[in-house]
Amino acid sequence: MNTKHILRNVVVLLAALALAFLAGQEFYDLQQPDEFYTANPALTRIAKLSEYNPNLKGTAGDTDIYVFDSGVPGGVALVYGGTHANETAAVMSAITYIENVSVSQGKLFVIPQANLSAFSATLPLRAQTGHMTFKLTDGSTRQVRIGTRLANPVHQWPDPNYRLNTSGRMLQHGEIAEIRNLNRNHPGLEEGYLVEMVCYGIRKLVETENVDLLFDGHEASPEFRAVNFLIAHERAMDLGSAAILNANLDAMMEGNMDGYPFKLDRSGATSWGLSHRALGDNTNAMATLFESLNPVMGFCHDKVTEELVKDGISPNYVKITELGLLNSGELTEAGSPIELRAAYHMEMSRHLIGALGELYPEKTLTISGLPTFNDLVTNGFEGILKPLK
Amino acid sequence: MIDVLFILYRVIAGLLALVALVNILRAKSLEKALNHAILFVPLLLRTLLIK
Amino acid sequence: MKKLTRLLALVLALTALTALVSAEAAYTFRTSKENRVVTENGEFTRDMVAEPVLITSIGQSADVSMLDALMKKVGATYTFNATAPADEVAKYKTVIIASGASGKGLGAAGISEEDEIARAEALLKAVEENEITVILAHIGGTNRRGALSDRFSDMVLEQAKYIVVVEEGNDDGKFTDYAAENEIPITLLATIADAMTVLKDLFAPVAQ
Repeated sequence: MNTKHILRNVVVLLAALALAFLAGQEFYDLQQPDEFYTANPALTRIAKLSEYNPNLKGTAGDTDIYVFDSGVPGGVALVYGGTHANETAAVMSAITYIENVSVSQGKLFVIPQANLSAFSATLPLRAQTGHMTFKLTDGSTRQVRIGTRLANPVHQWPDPNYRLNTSGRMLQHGEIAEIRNLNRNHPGLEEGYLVEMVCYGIRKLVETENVDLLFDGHEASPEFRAVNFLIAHERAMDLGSAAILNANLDAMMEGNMDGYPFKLDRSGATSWGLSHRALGDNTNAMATLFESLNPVMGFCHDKVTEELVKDGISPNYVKITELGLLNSGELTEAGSPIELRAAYHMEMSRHLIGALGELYPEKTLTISGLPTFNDLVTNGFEGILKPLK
Repeated sequence: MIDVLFILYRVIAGLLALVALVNILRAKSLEKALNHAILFVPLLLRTLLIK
Repeated sequence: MKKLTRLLALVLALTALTALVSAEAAYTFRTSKENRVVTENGEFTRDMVAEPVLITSIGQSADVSMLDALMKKVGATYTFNATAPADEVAKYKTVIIASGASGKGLGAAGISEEDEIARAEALLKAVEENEITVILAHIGGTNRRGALSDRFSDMVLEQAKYIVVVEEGNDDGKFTDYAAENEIPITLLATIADAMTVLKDLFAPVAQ
């Protein structure tokens, strides 16, 4: 080979290294943890999931658990988001809890990033954006990562071609990658794949802390048939129906005569591995899951900009709605803003907590301090989130 | 076993990255060099556990 | 060629005629923000129901749980049994049936579609034989419309003395048309929470 060829090849190699460096920079940035506001005086402590599964210590799955312990006996609830890191409203609702909630009876656990690894990557080939930024009223900014549905393959790799997990679900064929999805691997495995160990940690948290109510926050694309549905394990059906009714009555009393679009459905008997089925069957907690509408998650989403991500304005889906092609995730020009979606999560979880005490007085969990639905929708996260410094 | 497989796959990715690197340097045409470069970038990032 | 043209013209004419015959007037919503509860075809009042009261489901959708929550909220005295068989239903004077099919609900109850249809048939026969007052509650909106849901609703409609429906689930006039043809009182609700008004009037304890 002559010098000219070697020189050319070295140039190509250097170009490749430069490209790897530039692209790698962005991927590396996404692996850096988010900073949360932790100065809420009601915050008792920040636990780690490895306290409930020591095999998680030092791994990318060892997520933070925010504990609000009133010291007064009462009900116990676990409110969590970030099972799927691209389902931003659930994360933002959990963050709102962390920054604002106060507990005067009972105990509350909040996990904003249940599948922590999933926040360090985005979904390939789906043109997703990696961050959501809010400019606060004091001029500072808050930034939250938007990840993906599945754990990052750099943390859990390779995906087995077949896995019979502890729920009885067979992950194979089209579900091979779901071994990295928290919501297919409950109740988890003490020593197994990273995501299975995270699921086990959550299960042990529920068992150890005698969690009475579990709220798993999610979002769905407009094509999904159960948008704004609360999915409840059979033992949580009473709770779910009371919560939805109370939420609607409260909304009407506050002048929102349309109430909330919440509907109730029972957890499927064959929803193996999903939190509402697996944790409902394997723990004493009343397990629920809520889905709000996120247009970015749909296959027909418009160009992904912060406007789409935060305001949920999607001309494509407005058109699809007008054609009558959607069953539950209809969209108008008003969009589906992050504040509205997070407010739905907050209202649904808040009323579940309220209904817990109503139906089971010995399990009363009294919380306060959360912004109202109107506060959040009117002021936006720019007006609600607290500055970090 | 799961941990062992992870390490094994990382080693394989590293070796393949190395092979791609050598192939870039030994490529007889620009087209071939670019082909190997396209393979090299993701293999390097995966070896380094960046992507 | 002439024959083909004539045939084509005939097909086009038949298509246009079919379209004309089958064209339905679009449904006009009766409820609004200001007018949340609208009753048509006469009133259904408290003296038309008697205790004991049972609430059950045909189709096993989650709506029966919502109905349970509503009845609890108004302080009614009733029994809740989503899968009540015919012989149990026969013991009641008033039965409120939440109609709407749910595959998950049927699966969770361990009931097949065929079994639920059989239960519905037996139950509705029992209400007819025992002159039990049936109230159809369709409160799941458009999510509880579809081939199987409508089949269940149609079965209950035949015995219903009163229909309560969240109007979103009546966007083709199914329930209002049936009620008008059969002179059955029907109450349309803007949202599920508005069912409180109706249930309170019928079942809330009366202050002594």
